[in-house]
Amino acid sequence: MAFPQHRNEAEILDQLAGAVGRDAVSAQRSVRMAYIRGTWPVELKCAQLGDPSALPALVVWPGSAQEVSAVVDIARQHHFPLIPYGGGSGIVGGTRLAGGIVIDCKRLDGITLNETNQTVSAGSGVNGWHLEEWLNQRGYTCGHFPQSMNSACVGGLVATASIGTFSGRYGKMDDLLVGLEAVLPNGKIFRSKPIPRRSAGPNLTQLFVGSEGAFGIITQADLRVWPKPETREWTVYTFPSTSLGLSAVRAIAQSDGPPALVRLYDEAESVGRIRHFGYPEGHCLLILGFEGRADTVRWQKAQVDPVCRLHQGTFRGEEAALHWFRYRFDTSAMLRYNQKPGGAADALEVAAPWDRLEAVWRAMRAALEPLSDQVHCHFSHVYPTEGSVYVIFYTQASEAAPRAAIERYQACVQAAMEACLAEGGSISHHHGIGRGKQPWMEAELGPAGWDLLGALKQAIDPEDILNPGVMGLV
Amino acid sequence: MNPSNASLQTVFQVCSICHDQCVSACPVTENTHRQGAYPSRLATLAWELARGNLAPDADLRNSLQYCIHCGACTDSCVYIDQPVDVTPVVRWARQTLAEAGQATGQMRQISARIAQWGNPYADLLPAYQELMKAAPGACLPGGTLVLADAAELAYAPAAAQASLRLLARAGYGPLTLSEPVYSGWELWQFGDPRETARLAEGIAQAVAGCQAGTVITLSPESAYLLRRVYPEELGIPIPARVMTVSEAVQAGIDRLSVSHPDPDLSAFVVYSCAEAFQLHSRAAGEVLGSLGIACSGQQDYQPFHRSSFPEGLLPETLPALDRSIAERIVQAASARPASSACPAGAIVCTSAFALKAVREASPEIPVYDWSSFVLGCCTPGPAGEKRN
Repeated sequence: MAFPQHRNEAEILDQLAGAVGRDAVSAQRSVRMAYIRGTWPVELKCAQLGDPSALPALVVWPGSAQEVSAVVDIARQHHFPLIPYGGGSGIVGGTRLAGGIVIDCKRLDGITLNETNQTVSAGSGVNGWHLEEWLNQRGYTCGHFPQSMNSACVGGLVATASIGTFSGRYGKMDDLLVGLEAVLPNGKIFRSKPIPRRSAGPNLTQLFVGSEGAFGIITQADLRVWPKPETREWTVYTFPSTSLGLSAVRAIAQSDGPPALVRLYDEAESVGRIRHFGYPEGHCLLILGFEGRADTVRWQKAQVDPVCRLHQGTFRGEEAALHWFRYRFDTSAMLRYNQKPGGAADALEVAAPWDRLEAVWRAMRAALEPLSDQVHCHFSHVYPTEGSVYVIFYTQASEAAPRAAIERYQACVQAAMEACLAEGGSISHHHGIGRGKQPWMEAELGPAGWDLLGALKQAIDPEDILNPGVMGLV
Repeated sequence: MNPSNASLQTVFQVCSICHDQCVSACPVTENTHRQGAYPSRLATLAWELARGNLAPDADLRNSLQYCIHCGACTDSCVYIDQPVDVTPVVRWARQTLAEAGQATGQMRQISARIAQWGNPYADLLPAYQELMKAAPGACLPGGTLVLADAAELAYAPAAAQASLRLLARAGYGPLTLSEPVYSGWELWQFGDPRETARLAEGIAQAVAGCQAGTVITLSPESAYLLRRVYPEELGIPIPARVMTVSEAVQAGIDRLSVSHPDPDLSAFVVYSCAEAFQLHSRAAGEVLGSLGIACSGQQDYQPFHRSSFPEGLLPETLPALDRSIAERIVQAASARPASSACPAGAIVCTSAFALKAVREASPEIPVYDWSSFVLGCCTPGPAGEKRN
């Protein structure tokens, strides 16, 4: 058994077994290896190398908030770092920490529906897809469909401030979350009332949205739900340029009743789709998705059509949208690049106000193109005041080796982050910061904001046992 | 199998570096809550074993027992147009461990039982003698051979008899019944390809000797082995068309007529993993639909591990797996589906493993084997029986 020898592991193991049961704690190497990575490209490259440097020391599977609290008390007593872990779908290295105790939350899997309030209380270990299936069987939807929903768990979706593709109708995680339960670093169990709108001091529920396991271990989330929509419909438009498409999207986002889904691909990312469906070369593609009552959807479609036409958009039916829907979870193109020994690919999602969004897109594309084989960009998750842009890059190191690929990848991320910040964007819209984007966190928040975040961490977790180092917090 | 084999290398590299879009479909992950049950993590362990970074010890052996070869991950693979099957590397690792002296107690038990009975489940002679009464036909060239699967004889002998009657009703006859057959389902997935190949050769020779045109397997798992694994993985083709019972009945559906007494009856179908994910066969539900019986829902995988091996020789987290899956099936069948005012009136299982486990978990909703249920819904005739 490879086990760090600088702590009193045997004693800790016994104490943890006493707290959660012997079957719910493991020091076996083959068990710990399952937690060596999330889906951050650096972690994937390390897996390719067989690099064990991020191996945790122990894994526990608590079955209740009380058991999580007991684990926290033991970890604090021994100054042992804790890493909350859900589905392992994080894409920024948020759970990468060698030698700590992984708290796998998947046994926290209870689900309760409150039909009066239209909320669901879900344990932090509930898989996103399973939650949606469970709700669908009862006639409801959570409406939260991130690309990771097949593997992500509820706790991680809250802790990374996630968003789903139909956010135009159902909102972001911060909109969905009405209350939560979390175990604090002092072992206390925090339970917020499921009343999201209160004037009773700062909103403590929201403190945990995007906290990435630094402030507490989320054990349950209370989320809004909706009756399953009567209908789901699609429309597709093409535009002669990304600028025109973006103007149309802004007008749609600032109109009454925007669609549930908005995806505008820039000219470069549109190429494949444009060819596949026989649309004019050089144009960009806009997919709009609508959900809800049939009459509302009809009205929404009628609203967006003249807006698109005003910006030289051409209606293209729904075929390209149905194609996207079928392949919406397909990330195989990026994975294939990551499989190459010297290859790396990632999707960087940033945000900017409307008056900076196009500049951020252009700057990030310009920064990445010299370093990449391909750069694809699309805009989604739009609001009246801002929008997000995905910048997907595929790069190849000169040497066909994973270490070289990591260096190349990090150079790409650095170039992209600096370009984003220089143009007034925010470095993350919904993937979080983790360890992948932490070098730019101070620039993101500004000196005062960075100090404030550090002070919060110090006040909440003075012994720094919860996911130390995440977001650059130490 | 050599770990440097190109196809194994591809699976190592593709599955180990993945976004895990398949895990929501994995029944083992769902029911054990273990990250180590993720297909990608099993691939990683196998790869590390192949690269010499992990020793073939008991620790690794236990971690590699999670996969039940249901095929659900391949069915929902992120590579939509070229789905990847992780199980070859799991089988390779299990075989490597067994050859290194780390065979599980379960494998030793399987071997001992096969030596004693010819199958891992039970002494099948009494059940087989009963079944022979229902298949009096002689072996005819081009005729239909029914494979008397060991699991069905051991756990669902009445279902086996009902299958023969139903096949006769659907126009298959005279039917020839094989000797009791173990097709090697557990041996194959737990890492004994040589013994599985020996069994496959025996079955291939029996089919050739009988000159059968069609082989109908009582067990869906056998249909998958005979149709896909034997020819594609072991290089042993079966010289006949291979079908499950439900596929065969579907082909003869025009001969069946319905007189089920309850027009509001709805069924919840529990498919075998082998049918749902590996053969992509939905004949069981489609036949019910053709007979005018509403399907209130379905489950695409079945419990079977503990049913097969009651001594609990699997790693400590797995004995609860069957019970958990069976309970989920009953819960799903009991739920009011969005399309109906009532929960299912019956749970119908296509495999003996599921029948055994779900019956134990469902005190309220009646649980039937598929053949008996269909027979009970058909117009009673000389070979028919009423659904009880």
